[in-house]
Amino acid sequence: MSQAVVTIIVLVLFLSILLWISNRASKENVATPNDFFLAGRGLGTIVMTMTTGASYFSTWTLLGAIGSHYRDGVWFVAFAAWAVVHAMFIWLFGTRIWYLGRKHNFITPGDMVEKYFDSPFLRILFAAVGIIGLVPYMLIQITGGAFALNSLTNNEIPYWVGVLIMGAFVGIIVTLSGGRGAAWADTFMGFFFGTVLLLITVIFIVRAGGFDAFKGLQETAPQILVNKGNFWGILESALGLGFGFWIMPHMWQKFYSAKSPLILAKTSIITPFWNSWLMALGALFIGMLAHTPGLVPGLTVENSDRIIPLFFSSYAPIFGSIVVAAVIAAGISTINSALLSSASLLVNDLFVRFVKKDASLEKTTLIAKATILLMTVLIIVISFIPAAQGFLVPVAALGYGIVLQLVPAALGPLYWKGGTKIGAISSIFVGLAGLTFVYLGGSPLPIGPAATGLILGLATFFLVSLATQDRQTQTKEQFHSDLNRIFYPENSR
Amino acid sequence: MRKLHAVYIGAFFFFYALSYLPNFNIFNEATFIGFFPQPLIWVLLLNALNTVIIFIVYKKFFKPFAERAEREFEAYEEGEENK
Repeated sequence: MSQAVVTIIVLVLFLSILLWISNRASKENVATPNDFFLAGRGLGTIVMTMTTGASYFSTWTLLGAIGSHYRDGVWFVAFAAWAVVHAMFIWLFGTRIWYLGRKHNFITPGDMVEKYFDSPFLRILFAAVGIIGLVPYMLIQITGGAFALNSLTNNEIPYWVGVLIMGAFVGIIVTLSGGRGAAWADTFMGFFFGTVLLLITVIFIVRAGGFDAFKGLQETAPQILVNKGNFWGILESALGLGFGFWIMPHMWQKFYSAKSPLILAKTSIITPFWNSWLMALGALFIGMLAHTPGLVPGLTVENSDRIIPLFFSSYAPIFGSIVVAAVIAAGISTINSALLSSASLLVNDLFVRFVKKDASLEKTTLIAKATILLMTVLIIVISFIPAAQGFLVPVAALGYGIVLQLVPAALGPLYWKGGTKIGAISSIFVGLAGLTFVYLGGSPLPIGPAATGLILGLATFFLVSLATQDRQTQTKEQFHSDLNRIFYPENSR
Repeated sequence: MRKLHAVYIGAFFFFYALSYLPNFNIFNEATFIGFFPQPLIWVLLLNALNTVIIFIVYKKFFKPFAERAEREFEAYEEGEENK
């Protein structure tokens, strides 16, 4: 039986399980945006932990981060460090997002900023930037999965077939099951690809020489055992992929979805182990140890984003099919949430808010499903553009970098009541302009596009807010008075 | 309590910032400490410290906040039901 046939059988089996889960979830759905997008705000600890992890980690982890460790060695260990920061971000930002979301029944980030700043324009900005930032991120899930299929089967399953399989399946399950199905499927897929990553890590360590595996690299690849410097380069990824854990719209909405803050609290203590000690370090071990001579035949810098499929296509094709299913699981578990989120931004923040205010809940949900299918088609079309098929981490970082420019404005409702509407709007424009100029034209400074945008955006938000005043301050006062009371009760007695 | 909270958060981000020292060639020698190269073991050590801080923050701040918030929403929902 050829590798392609084995892979197709494993994939059909795997995708059938996902379809069954999605179908089960859809039976519990109620036709409301709250239920369709946020799973009725009822996610428990295990599902919450797995869905936040699985939505964040994707093909860039199982393929891209491993490739980055192969190319850059210990320099990319910053990924393991910022993955621990995610747990702190749940406390510092996730709790506030959850609290305000529950209190005011918000569905999207735009709901919060419009109410807080009394600015429909800010809602539009948050929705537009969120969607634009999600596109590259959704794109790499499709391209990464398709490349993995292609590599494992030695081109028997062409790239375009992989793209269509990924796209069609994601479109179907997300349309069918909504937020609840995505969270349930994420739990299954998270356990699946987490276990597979752990197994592959052990296999690589054993095959590379056990405890002395890293010492074996001293002769073959000594350059990857020391940090190559380039602080601003890694800061660029750390800011985007670190802050992205809460500012990306699909992650922000995960916080709305938690059943209670205790669920978030428990999620925060599991997160360092899942995000950093398992996922990030697993990727580090596999990527660096791939330099062991003869371990991954045919490996070059150019195909280093495909280390796992390359390894298994040589040694254990059947297990390799399961691994590719895990890569696809990582992709689907991210793109499902991202698709849902982008649909909610389009439908809730733009269509219902500005075009058809009297749309019924059933009609809104129906439009959301149609939007998901249209977005899926758009991503499939873009994935055939050669420029969209680059290394996974830089493309992911670009998506995160775009949405990162929303951070200064988001600090208004979450932390700083001195922030004004004009300050928030100008910070987004200045941040995006800074990012675009440096991305396209380069910079005389070593600072990357996303970091440049964020620094300029923060400065703009602060300075413009000091120079301007909002006419409506009652809602802002209420937000911060509520937050102070619940976070620092001793101060409000 | 607010000051203590700031101390823990400050310590967490201080340790996180220290994890970038190898980028400036500090703790970045091509020697091994145990099974790992020096810059890697440095980051792992700081990660372990920050994992411990996450647990402390959970116990001292996060869990009490969560219980307060749950009580608040329970009271609110009971009030809504009694209307």
